[in-house]
Amino acid sequence: MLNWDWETKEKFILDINEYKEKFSFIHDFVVSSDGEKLALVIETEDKKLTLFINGERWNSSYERICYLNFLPNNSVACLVLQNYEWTMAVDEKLLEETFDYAWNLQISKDASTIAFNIKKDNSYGVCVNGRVWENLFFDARDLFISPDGRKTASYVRTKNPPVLDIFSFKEGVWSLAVDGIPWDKNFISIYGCNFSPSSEKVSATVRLDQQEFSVAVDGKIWDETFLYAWEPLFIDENNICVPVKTEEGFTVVVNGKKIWNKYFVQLWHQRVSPDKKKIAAVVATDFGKWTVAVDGIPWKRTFSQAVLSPHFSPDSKKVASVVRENNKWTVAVDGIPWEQEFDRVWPPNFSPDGSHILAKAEIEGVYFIVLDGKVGKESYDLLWEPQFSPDGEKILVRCIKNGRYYRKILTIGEVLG
Amino acid sequence: MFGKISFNRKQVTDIGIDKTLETISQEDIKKAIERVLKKEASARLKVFVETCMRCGMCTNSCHHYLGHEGDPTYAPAAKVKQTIWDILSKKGNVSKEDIKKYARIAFTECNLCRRCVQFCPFGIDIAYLISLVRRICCLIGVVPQYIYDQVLSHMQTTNMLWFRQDEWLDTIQWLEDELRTEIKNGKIPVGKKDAEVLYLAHGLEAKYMTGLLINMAKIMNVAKIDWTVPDTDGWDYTVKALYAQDLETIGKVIRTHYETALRLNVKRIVIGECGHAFRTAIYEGVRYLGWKEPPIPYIHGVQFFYELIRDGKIKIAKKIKEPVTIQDPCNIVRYRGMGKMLRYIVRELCENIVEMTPKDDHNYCCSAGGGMIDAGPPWKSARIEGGKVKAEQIRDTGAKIVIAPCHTCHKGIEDLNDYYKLGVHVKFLLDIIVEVMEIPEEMRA
Amino acid sequence: MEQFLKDPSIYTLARGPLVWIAFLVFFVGIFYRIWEVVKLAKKERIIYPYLSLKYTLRSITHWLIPYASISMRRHPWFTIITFVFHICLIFTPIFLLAHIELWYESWKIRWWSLPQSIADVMTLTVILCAILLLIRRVIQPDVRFLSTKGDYFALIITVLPFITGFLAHYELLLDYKIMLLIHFISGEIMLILIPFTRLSHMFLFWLIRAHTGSEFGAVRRSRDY
Repeated sequence: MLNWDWETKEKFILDINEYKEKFSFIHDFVVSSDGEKLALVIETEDKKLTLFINGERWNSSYERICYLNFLPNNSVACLVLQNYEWTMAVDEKLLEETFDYAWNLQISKDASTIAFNIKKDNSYGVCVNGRVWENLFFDARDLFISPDGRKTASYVRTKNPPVLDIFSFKEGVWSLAVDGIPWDKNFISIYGCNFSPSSEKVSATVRLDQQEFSVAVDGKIWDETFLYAWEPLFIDENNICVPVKTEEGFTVVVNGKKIWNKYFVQLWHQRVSPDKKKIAAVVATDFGKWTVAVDGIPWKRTFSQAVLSPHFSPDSKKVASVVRENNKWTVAVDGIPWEQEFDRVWPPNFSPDGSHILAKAEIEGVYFIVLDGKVGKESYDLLWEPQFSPDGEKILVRCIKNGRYYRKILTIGEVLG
Repeated sequence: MFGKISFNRKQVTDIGIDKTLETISQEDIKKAIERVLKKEASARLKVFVETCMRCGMCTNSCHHYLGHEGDPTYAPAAKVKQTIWDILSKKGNVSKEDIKKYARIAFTECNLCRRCVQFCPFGIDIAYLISLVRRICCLIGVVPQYIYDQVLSHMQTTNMLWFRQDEWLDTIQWLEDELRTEIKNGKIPVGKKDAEVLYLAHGLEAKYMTGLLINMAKIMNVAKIDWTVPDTDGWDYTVKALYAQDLETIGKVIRTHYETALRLNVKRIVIGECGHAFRTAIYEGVRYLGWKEPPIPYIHGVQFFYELIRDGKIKIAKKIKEPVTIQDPCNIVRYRGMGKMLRYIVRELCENIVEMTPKDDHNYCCSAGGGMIDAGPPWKSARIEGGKVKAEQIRDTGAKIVIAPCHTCHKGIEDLNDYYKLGVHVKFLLDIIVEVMEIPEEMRA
Repeated sequence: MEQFLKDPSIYTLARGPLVWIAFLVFFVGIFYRIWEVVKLAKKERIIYPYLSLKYTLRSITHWLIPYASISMRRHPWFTIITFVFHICLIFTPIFLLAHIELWYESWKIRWWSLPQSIADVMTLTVILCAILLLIRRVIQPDVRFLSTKGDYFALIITVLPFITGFLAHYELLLDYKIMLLIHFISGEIMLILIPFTRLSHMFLFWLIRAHTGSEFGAVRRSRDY
C-alpha cells in the first residue's frame, strides 16, 4: 500500500465498451487492490475464455476461468479448466498437476501461500503452493490459511458410511485436517475454524451430539458444553472467545468461562479490538432488537432488521457497524447511526487515525462514496470499496463510469466537494 | 356406539425410531421432556392444554381423519391427547413404547399444516403442540431415518443430500453449458458480489431435478435479472431440520442463508417453489435466531414470478388450454397468504382454471408436507391414506394439470396421482412459465 | 344430613360470606391467571411483538358471530347449541330478578331484570343444551375419545346451579330452603372453579384469539376463521 501511486489524480485504465463490441461476451471483471489493473474474462470466437489484463491478452485460453484474484504484486492467480482438467494458473503459468475439480482459491495475507480445495480420483483435500496434502479424504469443505501462511486447514470427512446409515453418521464423520492431518476425533458437525495469531493453534466449534456443543482446540475438547455455540475467535495465543448459549441466553465465554454478566437473545460476530483489550459483538438485546455490545454493554440504540459485524477503529476507540432498519441500510458508529440512509452500504473503513470512516453505498441504482455519513458528490455506475492511503489523507477510488474504468486519488475534501 | 376407541395401526418399522429407542435410557427421555416442556415451552403450551374444551370442532378439518374413515384417533385434538396430554398426565415418566407412539403420531400423522387451528373456536395452535412432541423425540434422536439422514447432512454441509462443494459448483457449470444451447450467452453467475438477487436452489435441483434449475436460469436470463447463486455452502434452501424440530440445525442453516446473502451484498434472496424452506426462513428460523422478520427480503418463487409477469419482465406467448387446477401449498398460502398472487399467475398462464373446494387458505394439505414425504418409504402409505381427500378434490375438478408450486406438494400429489389413478400431470409454475413464455429471437442460441 | 342443611347458620353462611368469598376467588383467580399467562408469554418472547389489535378484533368478531367462521358453518347444530347455551348461561344469572334482589338487599343496587317467564325458558334452555352437549360428548366417537372425567364434571358443575335454581324457585323435589342452599353452594363452587379448571376458557379465549388472530392476520396474511 505504501508504494502505491497516491499522487496521480486520475488514471483512465480501460474502456470496457470496446471489448463489449469486439467480443461476444464478457464473463467477469476483476480489479486489483491498488486499482492499477483490470482483468476481463472474455469469451472468444471459439467459445473459449481468455483474460485481458489492462487490455493485454493472455496467450492461453481455457474452458473456464474461476476464482480470479490479483496478488499483491499484481500477478493474477485463478483456477482454470483446460482440456477438461482443473488446475491453477498464475500469470498464465499452470501448475503441473491437474485435478478433477479445484475450487475455493485462497491467498494468505502476505501472498506467500496460495491454496485451494481439490478433488482427485474421488478423494478430497487441499493443494498448497502447488503441493497436494499427503492425506486425502472423502470430502473436504472450505479452506483456511493460517495468518503466517504456513498452515492450511479444511473440514474433512474421514469416514464414508452410505447415505441413510444414520447410526454411523451420528457417531460423527467430520473432523478438521490441518496440513492434511486430521484431528483424532470426529464430530457430527464442526465449524468456525480459527487459527491463533501465531498460527500455532487452531480452534473450531464442535457439535458433540444432538444436544451439546463445545469448542475444540487442536483436537482437544473443552470441558464445558453449551446448548449452542457459534464460531470461536482467538484473542491472543492463549485465550479464545466464543458466543455460547446457556439456559439464561447467549453470552461470551473465554476458554469456557463466562466473562460478561449479560445475556442476550442472540450474540455472534464477536471481534477483538486491535489492542486486544475489548470484545465487540453483534447482539439482540431482546427479540427483534439488534445492536452491538462492547464488553457486554450494548449500545442504547437498537435496530430492528439487521446489524452486521462490528469494525474497530485502528486505535480501538470506536466501533462501527452496518445496520438496517425500515428496509434501509446505514452505518452506526458507537451506537449513533448516520442520518443518511442507503439502499445498500458496504463495510465501513476507518482512516488510520480513526477520525474518518469511508464506505461505498448505493442509492437508487448508482454508487457513491460516503465519508463520515455524507454522500460524495460524484456518482458511479460501478464502484469498488474505496480505501484510505496509509497517511489517511487520500482516498483510492476504483470506479466505472459510462463503461470506462478509472483509478482516482481524491483528498478527503474532494470527496464531498 | 360405545365401544372402546383405541390406537390401532399397522406395524411399520423405521430404524430411526425403533433402533434408536434401543440405545437410549429412561433418563434421556425424562431429561428431554423436561427440557422441552419445562424450559423451552411456556405460555402457549400451558394455555393451549388448559383451554381445549374437547369439543371436536377440529376433528373433520384434518385430512388424516378424513382419510381414515372417521377413526377418532386421527383427529387433531386426539393427536394432542395421545401425545402431550399423555406426557403431562404421566408427569414425564413415559415408556419407550410411549415415545414410539408419540413419534409415529407427530412425524407421520400430522403435516403441521395448521388447518385445524382455523377450525378451533379458541385458535389453539395444535401444530405447535405437535412440534413440541417432535422436538422431544429429536433431542433423544428418535426421528424417522430418512428425515434424520437429511438433518445430519444439514448439520455440516447445510445441504440436504451430503453434496460436496465441488458437486454443486460442477453442476452449475454444466447446467450453464446446457443453458447456452438454448439461450445465447446464457449465464449462471456463481458467487457474484453485489448482484440484486441471490437465488438459492432446492437440494434436489442440483442432483435429480436439474431441469428446474435450468428453467429458473432461463427465466432469470430472459427477464434480465442481475442474479447469482452461492459459490459456498448455503446454496440449498431446504431445511429438513424443521421436520425434526432440530432448532439448532435450523438456526445454523438459516443463518448461513442470510449471511451468504449479506456477504455477497445482494438485495434479496429468491427461492423456487418450496413450502417448508420459505416458512422456516421467514418464521421458525428467523424467530429462533432472534429476528422478528427476515433481515433482508426472502422471496418465494410465487412472489417472484408474480412480479416478473406483472411488471412485464417476461411475456406469455401462448396460454395453456387444458383444464388446470391449483394446489395451495399450506406453507405459502395458509402461512403467507399467497393465494391471490398464485391465481394471478395461473390466470396469466392458463385459459381454463377449475378450482378445488375448499381452496386458498382453507385448502387441504397434500398430506406430504411437514416431513411426511421426507420420512421416506416406510411411511408412504400413511401419507397416501391421509391424501385421500386431496385426491378426491383433484378428481372432482376434472383438471388435467395440477399446478403445485411446492416441491413437497408436487411429489406428494404425483404419488396420489399414481395411487388413486387421477390421470393428471403435476407441474410447477416454473415448468409452465418456461413452456409458455416468449424468448426473444435475439436471445436464442 | 337433612338437619345439617336445615341449620339456619349454614344458610346464612352460604347466602352471605360464601358468596363474597366465591366472587373474590372468581375475580382474584381470573386476575391471577391472566397475570400468570401474560408473564409467561413475555418469557416466550415471540408472542407480544406480533400482536395486532386489528387482527385480534377481526378474529374475535368472527368467532362471536354465529356462522362467521368456516368451522361453525361446518357444524351448524353444535354451533347453535353452544351459542344459545353460552348466551343463556351468562345472561340468565346476571338478569334474574331473584339474584338482583339479593344484590339490592346487600348493596342497594339494582338493574334491569328478565321477566320470570323468559328467565325460566332461558334456564331450561341451558339445561336442555347441557343435556344435548352431554349426549354429544357420549355418543360422538371423536368427542368421547377426547373426553375425560373432568369434562363431564365441568359440564355438571356448570349446569347444576341452573337445575337447582329452577327446582328451588318452583319448590320441586326438595324442601325450598334446602334446594336453595344447594343452589347457592353449587353456584359458589362454579364461580370458584372457573379460574382453575377448563372453565377458564371464559377468559383465556380472548388471549388465545389475540395471539392466533394476530399470527394469522398480521403475519401469515390468512384467515383463522
